[in-house]
Amino acid sequence: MEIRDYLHLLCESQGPSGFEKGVAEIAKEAIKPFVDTVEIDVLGNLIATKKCKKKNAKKMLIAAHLDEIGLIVTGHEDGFLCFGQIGGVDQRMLPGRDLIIMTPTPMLGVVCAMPPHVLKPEDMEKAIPMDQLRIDVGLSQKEAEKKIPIGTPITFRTEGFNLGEDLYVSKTLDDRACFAALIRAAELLKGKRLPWDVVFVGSTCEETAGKGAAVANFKEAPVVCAAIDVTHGKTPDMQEDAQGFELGSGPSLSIGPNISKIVGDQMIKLAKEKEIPYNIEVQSGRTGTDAWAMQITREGVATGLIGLPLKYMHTPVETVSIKDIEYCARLVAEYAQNPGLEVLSC
Amino acid sequence: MLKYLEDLCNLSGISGDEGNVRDYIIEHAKKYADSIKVDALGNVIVFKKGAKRGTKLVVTAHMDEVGFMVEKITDEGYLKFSAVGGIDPRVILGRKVYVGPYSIPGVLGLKAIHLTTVKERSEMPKESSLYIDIGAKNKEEAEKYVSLGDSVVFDSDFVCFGRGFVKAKAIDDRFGCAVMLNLLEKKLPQDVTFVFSAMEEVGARGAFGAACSVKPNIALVLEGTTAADFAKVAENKKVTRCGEGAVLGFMDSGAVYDRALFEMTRELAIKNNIPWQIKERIAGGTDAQAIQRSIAGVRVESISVPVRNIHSANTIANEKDIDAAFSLAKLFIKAVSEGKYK
Repeated sequence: MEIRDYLHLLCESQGPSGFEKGVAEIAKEAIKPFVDTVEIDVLGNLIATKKCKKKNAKKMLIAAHLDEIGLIVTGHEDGFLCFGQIGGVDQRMLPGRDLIIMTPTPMLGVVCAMPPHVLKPEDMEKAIPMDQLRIDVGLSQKEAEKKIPIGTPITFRTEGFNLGEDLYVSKTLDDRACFAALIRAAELLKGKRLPWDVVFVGSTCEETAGKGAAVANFKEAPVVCAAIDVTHGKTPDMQEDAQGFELGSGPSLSIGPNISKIVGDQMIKLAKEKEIPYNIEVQSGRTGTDAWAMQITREGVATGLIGLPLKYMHTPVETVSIKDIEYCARLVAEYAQNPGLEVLSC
Repeated sequence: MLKYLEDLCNLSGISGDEGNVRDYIIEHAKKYADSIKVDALGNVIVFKKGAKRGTKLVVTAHMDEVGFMVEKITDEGYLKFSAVGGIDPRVILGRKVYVGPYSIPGVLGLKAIHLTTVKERSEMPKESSLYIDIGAKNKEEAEKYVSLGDSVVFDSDFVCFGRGFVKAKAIDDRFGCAVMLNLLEKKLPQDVTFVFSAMEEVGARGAFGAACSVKPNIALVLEGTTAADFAKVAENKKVTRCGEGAVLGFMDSGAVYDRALFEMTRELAIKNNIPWQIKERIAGGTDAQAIQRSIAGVRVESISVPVRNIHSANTIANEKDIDAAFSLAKLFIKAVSEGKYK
């Protein structure tokens, strides 16, 4: 399968934080041919291990999160649904938005777009706060209550598509595009000698706190862990001083307290040696990725972070470069084979 | 009916660029029509003979939909655009669109929520700050795929959902076109000229010319009209309600409809148990505003269906209302043939 096929497969399934079961099963089947063991743990993390077949092998763990942002039903009003958000949803792009209501047989919902005449003139320029928005499911109050109970999760309804020559657009590329990079990395490692076991994790609940990756990291107890997550692609509406990376210019490798030098420096060294394009991303504190929680599991774990540039983060039209995914996969595969002596002697 | 509606809604045709819709209509109307012509403004004028000649009657619906046009290509290869027809910028953010005659996919980008200030998040971005991303590296590459003036339409699909609802783009007014194609298939009690009009969304432009060439005595306009029957909306602001029947026009911002025709239509609905309602707000307009003042004056009436999220990618209507509008339009033609309009 090509990277675009993996993106299609992974992004078209629904899995907001806490409801990743469906996507984890799909991810499991996709990575299975390239690893030795696969399991889904108590918090729903997919853990896929490629073994080095050495006694007392050390482990490296790399996580891409499988969960996505979404909405969740909190009530019913005249047959319309009231809802809250799962993760950071931008209220400005909700009116008129089509959604998938994740009932056993998924249903269509559309966020009501209030026509101008029902808005006060002073509110015309404002975004309608999420608690005032409702979802139209075309049902009466009684039917809606019965068919769509409170607590039903909701995702954006989109189908992925190619944009230009190298770009791909879909919901949920944050962070399934990075999981696609991990599948591709596992594929690149086929038949390669490994110095350690490589554990690929499809983590859960990143968008709500990074809990999944933390417990997977605890359970697997690697000597090195890394997160691979999306970072902001450059767009014309960005503030000039914001860090944004051109799509197609390769992964971002972060420098900052969340990244252990022993891991970060080796990744930069490998990228240079193997001629994989990359950018440096400076992260002076919290990185907003699984790396944040993973770094402080157990007695602390040496941590790395690879960023995939993505435009329009947390919208239904997230955009990535296929080339960048390939570069990320190559970098992961190189690092898995060449962690540096320092790390291995830990 | 739904088959026509689905096909028509899936076609692209912003005001002034209705070619795709026009071709579809001509192809499907020609089996049943006695004559078809396309006029200088792009209207399709379809004449069908009935059991008798009758008074000169036009039934009309517009082919065009709201959308955008490419106005500028930036050095970075992004497209700046302007709206064709009335689109609320709050329904366009983060949407997929198709650009130009080759339907190049594009996205209406939106700065990631993580990079916005609290103030930015609570305000709607100005249309002038928005842009379309077609994945081009720079202006030169973008120019290979798109040209200035290219039409831009929403990506949307046709879905039946809930209790008898349909969701698609452009139900306003492809519903009216679908109803007319259905009427064309029927035996008619008198001669009818069906006008599939162009450029309604930019000021009922097509209807002026069509009314002048056809010279009707009576015109029935089929339209999509605002429904704000959402939760949280005060009863007196709902305008029309989906599922509660066809909407009879008595007055809007563009016309005071012919009172006798309005009353005749209302009587027809009551007598034949067809669900009906009236618009509870004097707003909006239809091709009637143009037709009424054409030639030496034309008597006009409208039958509409309530449409939620009108002028967005996901417009919503109820099948019951569409059926009611169709039945009522058929009865309207019959009543006119029987001289009940006098």
